[in-house]
Amino acid sequence: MKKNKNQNRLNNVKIPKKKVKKKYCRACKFNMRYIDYKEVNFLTGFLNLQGNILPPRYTGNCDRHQRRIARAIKRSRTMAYLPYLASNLQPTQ
Amino acid sequence: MNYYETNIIIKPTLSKVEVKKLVDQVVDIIKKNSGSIVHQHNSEVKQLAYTIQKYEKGYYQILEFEAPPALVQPLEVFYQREEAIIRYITIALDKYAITYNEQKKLSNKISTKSSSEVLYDKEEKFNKKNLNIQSTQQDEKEQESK
Repeated sequence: MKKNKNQNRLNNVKIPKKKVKKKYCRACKFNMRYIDYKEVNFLTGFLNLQGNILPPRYTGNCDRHQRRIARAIKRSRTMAYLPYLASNLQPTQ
Repeated sequence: MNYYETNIIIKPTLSKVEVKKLVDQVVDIIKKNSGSIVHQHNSEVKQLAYTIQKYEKGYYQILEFEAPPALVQPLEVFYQREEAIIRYITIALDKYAITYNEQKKLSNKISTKSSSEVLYDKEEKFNKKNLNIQSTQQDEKEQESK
C-alpha cells in the first residue's frame, strides 16, 4: 500500500481528502436569545448517549450559547425532563 | 415588578380535584403578595426521566406571573412545607424569554388541529393533484382524437 501511495505522489496524482462538515452554532443559526429548559429534543443534541454535556469542540457552539445551553440542561435535569445518567439517551419523535 | 415562571411536580397519587386545590393555594399566595398571574398552563401527567421518592410519573404545573422579587421566598417556603410537591423551580424571565413564551403559546394555538383534520388536508391536496393530471390527460386525448 505504501508503494502505491508513493507512486501516486510521484505521478502528481491528487488523492481526494475526506470532506469534513464545518461546525456551526445551532443556536446562533436560529438567532435564539433564550433557551428553554423544557425543550428536551433540542437539548439532547448537546448530550452524549450517557447524558453528559458535550464540550463545544464537538458541538461547535459559540461561547455564549454553550453557557446558556449548559444552564438549561442543568435546569431540565432538576425538573426530571432529562436524566442525570442514561444508558442510551436519544431524542424522542 | 419582575416576570417569573414557576414549575412544580406534584405526586401522581393525588386526584385531579386535590391537584386543583393545591394549585389554587399557590395562586392565592401570588395574588396576596401583590402579584398577578399572566398565564396558567394545564397540569398534565408526564413520565419522569428518573424516579423521585419511588414515583415514576408526576403532575407538571407551570405558572407565569408578574410580581415583586420579595414574593419568591415565601412561595418557595410553601413549596418546601407542602408534602405533595416533589420538585419545584422558579425562574426570572428577561424580555427575550417573554417574547419566546408568547410565540410558543401562539404556535400551540395554531397547531391544535386534530390529526384527522391534517390527514384530510393532505388527501384533498393529493386528490387535487391527481385530478389535474387526469384532466390534462383527457384534454390531450381529445386533442389527439380531433
